Amino acid sequence: MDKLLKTIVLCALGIFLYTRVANNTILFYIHERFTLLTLLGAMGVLLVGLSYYRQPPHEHTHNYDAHNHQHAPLRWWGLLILSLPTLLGLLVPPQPLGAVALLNRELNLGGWQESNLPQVPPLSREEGNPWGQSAQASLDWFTIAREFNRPQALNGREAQLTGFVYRDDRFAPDSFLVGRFLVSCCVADAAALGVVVQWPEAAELALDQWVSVYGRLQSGEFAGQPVPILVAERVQLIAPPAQPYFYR
Amino acid sequence: MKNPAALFLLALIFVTALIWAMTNLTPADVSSRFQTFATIFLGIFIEAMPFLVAGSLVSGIIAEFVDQGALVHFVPDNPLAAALIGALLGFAFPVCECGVVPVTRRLYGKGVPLAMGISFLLAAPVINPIVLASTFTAFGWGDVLFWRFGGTLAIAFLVGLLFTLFRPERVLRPMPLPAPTLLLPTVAVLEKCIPEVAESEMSRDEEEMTAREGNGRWWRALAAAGDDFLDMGRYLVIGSMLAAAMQTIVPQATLVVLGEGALLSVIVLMALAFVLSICSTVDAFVALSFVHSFSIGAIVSFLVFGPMVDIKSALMFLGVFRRRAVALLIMLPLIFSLLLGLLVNLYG
Repeated sequence: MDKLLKTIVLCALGIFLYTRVANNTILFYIHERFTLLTLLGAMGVLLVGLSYYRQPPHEHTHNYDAHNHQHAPLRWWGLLILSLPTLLGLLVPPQPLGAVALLNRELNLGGWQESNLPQVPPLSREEGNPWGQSAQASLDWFTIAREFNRPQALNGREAQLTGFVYRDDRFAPDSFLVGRFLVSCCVADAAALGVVVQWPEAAELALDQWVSVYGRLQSGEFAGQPVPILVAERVQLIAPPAQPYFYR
Repeated sequence: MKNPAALFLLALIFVTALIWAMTNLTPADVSSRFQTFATIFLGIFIEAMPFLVAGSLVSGIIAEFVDQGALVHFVPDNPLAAALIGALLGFAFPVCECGVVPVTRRLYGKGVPLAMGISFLLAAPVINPIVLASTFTAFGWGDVLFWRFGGTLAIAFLVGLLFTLFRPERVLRPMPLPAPTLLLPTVAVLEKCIPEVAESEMSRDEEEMTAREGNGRWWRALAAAGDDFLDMGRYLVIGSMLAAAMQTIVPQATLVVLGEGALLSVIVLMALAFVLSICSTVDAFVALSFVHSFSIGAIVSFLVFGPMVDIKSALMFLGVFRRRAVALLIMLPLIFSLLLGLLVNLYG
């Protein structure tokens, strides 16, 4: 029975991870470059799970130490704890980090450094361009990020940003934050990027709604810090992208 | 009720109901927080899991194929040399802080001296080619790289040496003892369940047996790896949950606001390293984002202390060491990393 339960728990974990990789929601949790590693890990637990039924039943006269082969009976709560990732993964619908995670994080309005940013901005390639050709020349997240601490330099420039809506009590009714997370390994290290947007109908936007914002940048101030503010001309509601984070 | 399988199933149903209720029956702000917690928890767990699998596989292979006598013969008697070799062993077993624990435990099972295991445990997550490369990529050739590697080596060596003051049986948790009587019924049951095995036991010809034995040893190594994964994995799960809960409940700003000053900044980043539990292979990239708001000493301490001790690895230590030893294994690196950070800030 012990053996059967161990096998079930290990194989369930492997299959769960495999399905997450197969339907690409694995990207909600980790950097894309670790996907293969997760797949290997899933195969690993499947293999060790099945091995309980393949190992030869008893010791022969070899010189290895017998006690290392004793499979101490696993306590039931140990198995329960190891079932938790699978249970949580199956019962809680997969969703990328959003506004709630921002509540607890340092809003990275000023601390962007060039060294932190990805070399190749994946934005336009991955997400298409809802505004067509006219906005091709507009600024994206990374160009803004490089000049973030010198908002004057961005004055009057066109920009188009895609992200989720965030708001807290520091925001006026006609403004919100368009946010994105930058992930270097897994969501535990996600750093929040955000640009303050001015839009008369800001109050109607729900938290976590994904939007594509087009407008012009203007140097302004937020929470006592000089920041570029995006004065929106158009705000379009969009579906969350398959790849919700930026990776560095 | 004494039947563990029944207890397991009951508890499973209860936990399933609890998670379902947290997701579907609570007010929106609670359920969205719970969802964020689940995402961060799965992020840390999924990220770390392959490394734990790899560590368990190495451990299983050591268990099955490394001859205890040969290993003990190879290990130096001198504790200084043992601790030094332990600290450098990461180049032979490139594991991060999740994989290092089962390997260390297995090495102890094979008779490796206490000092060597401790130094290996503390140093290997940093002193290996992968972390060397990632730190170099993030910080280039310079102070941070130098202090991270020098500091880790020195601290792992020192702590390993300090542990020679204790008797191993006061430090290590006892390994499962041999129980040969238990083996016999298992064989009988297996023979009934799996005809293939029973059959193989009957028709044994000398050559055929050696061949099957070769395969069998691999399967046994895998099963040992599975047990290791189950043993250590539960600490990884609890640690990831604590780290995720901290991230969902405690605002990062409360920590970061404290980040000025030679001493305070070091303490703050060390606390952050402990809480965040980021894998040592990538923590350099995370540390990069602190460069402009924290002192160099604080960043060095973050990169030295985090891989040695964080929530999840500290919990995993409990599977190898006795509680008091775990407390020491947390306190000594903490004190030494703090001193290192201060040293870098004041004289670096």
